[in-house]
Formats: sequence, structure tokens, C-alpha cells
Amino acid sequence: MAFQKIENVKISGIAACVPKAVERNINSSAFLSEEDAGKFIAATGIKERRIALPETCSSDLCYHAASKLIDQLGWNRKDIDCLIFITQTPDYIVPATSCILQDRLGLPTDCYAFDITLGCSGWVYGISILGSLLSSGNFKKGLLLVGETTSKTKSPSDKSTYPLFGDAGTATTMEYSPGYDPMYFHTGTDGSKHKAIYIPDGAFRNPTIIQSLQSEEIEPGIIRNRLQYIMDGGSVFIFSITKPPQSIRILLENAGKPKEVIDYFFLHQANKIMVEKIIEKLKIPLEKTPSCFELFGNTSMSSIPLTMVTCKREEFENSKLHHVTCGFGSGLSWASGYIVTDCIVCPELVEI
Amino acid sequence: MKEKFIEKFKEALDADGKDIRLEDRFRDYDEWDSLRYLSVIAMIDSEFDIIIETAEFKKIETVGGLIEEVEKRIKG
Amino acid sequence: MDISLGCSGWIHGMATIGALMQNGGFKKGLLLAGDTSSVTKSPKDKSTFPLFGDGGTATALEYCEGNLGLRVHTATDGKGYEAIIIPDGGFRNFYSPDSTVEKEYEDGIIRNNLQTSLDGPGVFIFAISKAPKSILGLMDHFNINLNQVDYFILHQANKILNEKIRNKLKLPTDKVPYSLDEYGNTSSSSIPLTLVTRLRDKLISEKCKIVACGFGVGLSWGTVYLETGKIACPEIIMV
Repeated sequence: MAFQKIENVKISGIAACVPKAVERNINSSAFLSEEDAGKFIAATGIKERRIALPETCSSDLCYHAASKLIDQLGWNRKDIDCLIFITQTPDYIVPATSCILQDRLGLPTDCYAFDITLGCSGWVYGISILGSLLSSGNFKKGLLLVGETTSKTKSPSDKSTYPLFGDAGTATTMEYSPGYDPMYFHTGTDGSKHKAIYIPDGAFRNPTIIQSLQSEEIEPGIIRNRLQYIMDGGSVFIFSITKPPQSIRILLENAGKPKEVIDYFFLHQANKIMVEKIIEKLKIPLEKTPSCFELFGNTSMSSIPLTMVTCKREEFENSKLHHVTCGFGSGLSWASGYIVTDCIVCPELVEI
Repeated sequence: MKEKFIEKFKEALDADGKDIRLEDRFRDYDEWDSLRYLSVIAMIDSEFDIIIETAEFKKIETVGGLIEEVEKRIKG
Repeated sequence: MDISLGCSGWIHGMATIGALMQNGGFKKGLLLAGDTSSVTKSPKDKSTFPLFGDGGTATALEYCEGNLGLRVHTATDGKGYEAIIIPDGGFRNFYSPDSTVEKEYEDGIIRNNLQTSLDGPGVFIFAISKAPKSILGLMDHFNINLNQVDYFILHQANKILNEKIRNKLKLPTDKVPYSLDEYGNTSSSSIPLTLVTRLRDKLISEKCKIVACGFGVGLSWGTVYLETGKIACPEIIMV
């Protein structure tokens, strides 16, 4: 029931953009001591992250990634039929940021554009949705922009969240391509655990009031207000070591692909502990699981394309690759995809 | 099963030389912190194929309690 | 997944869920479109508050081999993004204590930065131009005879605007039902809300050929043509 086979579509390019500013966890304000910082880095593997300036939004990061990609592909912007922007940090509550991006990128007004709100499962979901839109041939060229300024939703005085996350924006182009290798997806949602990763105020269940901005000490090392992330580390860990490996196994079975034929497994870059447990459970070789959390942290829905660009760019440009991608996170939501790419355009990482 | 559990429990705590007794309240161990908690969860999953959810884990106070819970779930 | 769109939301939603379901991978889908938009309007703003109401809707779709499906036209123009906007609360202008400070823009228009600002004339001009073009463009592209359509459900913006659209297209009044008299502008739910409250008896007992057109915040707009055949349509629910 949660399976999709999407035909006649291909990914033609992937690009990523990160802020220039680097924050090193060893010096992070979130820790009470350098010793604590050291333990954290040893456990999570996250040494540093990129942090956006206050005036930089996720749409800006995605805009720069998209511009570079479109130019390198040599695409005429007026030929782009659809644009999906996936984020948890939109420019405005209203209007949708995809509409603003349509104009900024010079896409035609006939462009089908909307925002999707999803977290770390966002890129894989996005590929499946844009793929579905393109597969009938109604649309020929599409742009998937996924990005988040995660640093802005975390309290700098919260050791359980702030040092884990970094900012990034990515662009993936897809095209209608009759006869291309099909993509397969397996997706899942469990809303009973929606409070495992959430921001209490700021939407319409608990609208923002003055009290929302008041910081509270939850325990030593965890100080935050109601517009900042709460993450139940234990529940998220349990979820991450159960659903993603299960989803990947089911996906490969359904697609009829043994794991031995997969060139790379791109797992959402939550942190070292989670990623290693998933690898262990799936019994896949480490060299098939590139990672970038060490230098960029958990970049939410950008983490998979960011890993592709920063770790395997040249291979993506020069080879045909069979890969499995798996995103999992807030919702709780998860998605796995089996995708074939063949010598795609993959510009160097953009930094702004 | 008890011996295997205690051996793996020590590994998860990164405390190989530690003397572990069934009546120990593991949250009082010097080694215990949020990362050790995750390691123990992962250990129980990979060694016994059992996931103890956060709410259930909170109710368990001793090492013996953990072993009982795992045994109970193995029996089904 | 959530999609963030306003008054064009049901149109885009139908197109998206339709695309996901069309190859048979998914058999049954649920499109939920709703807004409590009254919460985002200042009760002291005569240009917005009295126009809007709240509503939530559910549309169930099934994979059906050989069925006509949907015919859709969609469009976006981000140049007009400020025509309908909540300035603060996103990540361009984050919340601050200033966000809740009320400002008087003119007599009868007082709001803060967490409340919707609506450029009435700008939206009016946009809607009376784009909505008819979208409907006619869709009909033309897919060779659908306007006269054979049973009902035209327009997003329930306001009577003056909607009547302008109806007149431009020369549509008879009995083919263009309104629900805004009772419910106001319910944003993304206005089209399905109109279907339920004004055409329920027809939808459950007859085949209907329907054109629906949504237009608004973004600026975003679109039109769907669909044919229904005796569908389930419970009475309106009030909570």
C-alpha cells in the first residue's frame, strides 16, 4: 500500500548550497564545558555545522543552488513546468514560498508551484511527488527545492538539539523521460508520535503569544522557549533504528533488487550513532554509505542531496549509479527510494 | 540469558570491569547518561531483537528489571 | 504531507493527489483542505475580518481504471506575493515583541504583523483577469464545451468579484452556486464547501460535470474539470 513505482522520469541534476559561516561544536554555547562538547562530538561525529546569517532564509539557499544547477544544465527557465519547495522554515506563514521562488527564479507563470511541509523525510517524498507529476508527461521539467535553516528553530542553549543541526538548501532537477529506469518508493507515517520532534507554539494549535518567547530551563544544559524545538531523543532513536532499516528492506524486496547491486545507500544524516546502527542492522558495507554529518551536522531534508554533492559528486557526473535513499524524521515520517542516475549534472557545493 | 545480558550491558555502558548486580539501580551508575541510555536500547534491539519504548523503559529501575522485561518479551 | 497554499489549494491538491494516484500504485486517497483563516485576521480590520470564515473539508479519491480523471490548469505569479501576506512569523521576519504591536493603516484598518494584509484592489484585478482566462484556457486545451458543464464552482472570494467573473464568462446564475453568503471566504475549503452545501442533492443522485476555479494567495490559481457520478456527500458537519 505504501509502495510506488514511478516510470518515465529521471533526475538530471543535483546541487547544494550552504552558508559560509562555520560553527565548531567544541566551542559551542550549548555545552556547559569543553569536556561535554568533546563527549558529544565523539558520540555524534558532528564536529562542525554551517549556520545561516539572520537575514538568510532556506529559500535563499535553495535559490542559489537552483540557479547554479539550471545554468549548468543550460535549461531555459521558461521551460520549467513545476516547482516544489519543501521546508519547515518558510519565508512567511502566508504566502507559500514556492510562489516567491517562481518569480525570483524567472520561471513562467504557468508553473505549478507549492510548498510542502515535511522534515527529514522531505527529499525522498519530494522526489516521489515530483516524479509522479512528471511521469504522465503532463509536465516535462521540474524543480525540487528542499532546504531548511534548522539553526533558527533551535535554542543555542539547548545541548540536546542545537549542536546537532546545520543549515543547507538543495536543488534537484527532474525530467520526463520515457522508458527510463523506474524509481521505487516505500513511505510511512506515524502521527501518534508527532510530539517526538516538534515546536509547541507558532502555528494554530498554540498561536504565538508573548509568553512563547520566554526561555525556560528544562534541566541543566537545556534552556529553550516555546518557539524552539523539542526533541525526545530516546523516541527518535528508537524510531530511527527500526523504521528506516525495515523500510529499506521492504523497498528492495518490492523492487526486486538485492542490496548487493546497490552502489550507495544515502541515509539521512541524523548523527553517527543512528547512521551506524542502521548500517549495522542492514549489514551493508561502510564504504557504500557516504556521510557528511561530520562537517555539516543534521541538515534535515537537505542531508541526502548534500551528501551526494559533497561526497560523490564526480561519480554522479561520470557514472550510472543505483542507489537507495532513506529519509526519516519529524512527523514521524519516513521514506525510502530506489533511484538510478546516469551521468547527471552535479555542480560543486555553493557557499553564500 | 542473564550472563549474556550483563556482558552486553557492560559493553553498552563502556564499563567492562564493572561489577553489575541484578538489584543495581542503573540510573545511579556514574557511567549513566543519555548516550548510554541510547546504547542500551540499541544493544537490546540488536542482541535480542526487542525494542523497549521510552514510556516502558521509564518504569524499569534495576538491571534485574531490564532482564525480566527482555525475558518476558522473548517468551511473547 | 502538508501543502501550504490558500485559495487555490483545493485545485492544486486535487492535481497533486491525482498525480500520485493515477498509475494505480495508490488505490485510495484523502485530500483534506481547510483553514481557520479568521484567526489570522485582525477583528479591527474591515478590509479582511468580515470577509473570511473557517472551514475544513475532506475529498476522497479512488483509483479507477479508464475513468476520465481530472483536467487541470494551474499557474503561479510570485510577483504578487505581497498582495496577501502575513508579514511576520515565518523566517524572513521572525516573531518579536514588535510583531504583536497594532498599527493603524487607515480608518477602520488596524492590525499587527501577525495578521493578514490584503491588497483588495490588487487581488480584485488579478482575479477578474486570471480566473476567466484559466477556465477558458482549460476548456480550450481539452476541447470541453463550456455549455455542457453543469456547474461552475468559483472560489468564494466575495460577491462583487465573483459576479464579475461570472459575467465575463457569460455563465447563467443557476450554474454558479454561492456559499459565501452564509460562510464567507473559507480559503482552501471554499470550493468543496460550496459543493457540499449547495449541490449535495445533485452530487449524490446524478452525474455532474463540474468546473472548479481557485485563485488567491501566492499569487496562485488554477482550474479543474471533473465528472462525478453519484458520490457520497454527507451533510455539512458543524463542530
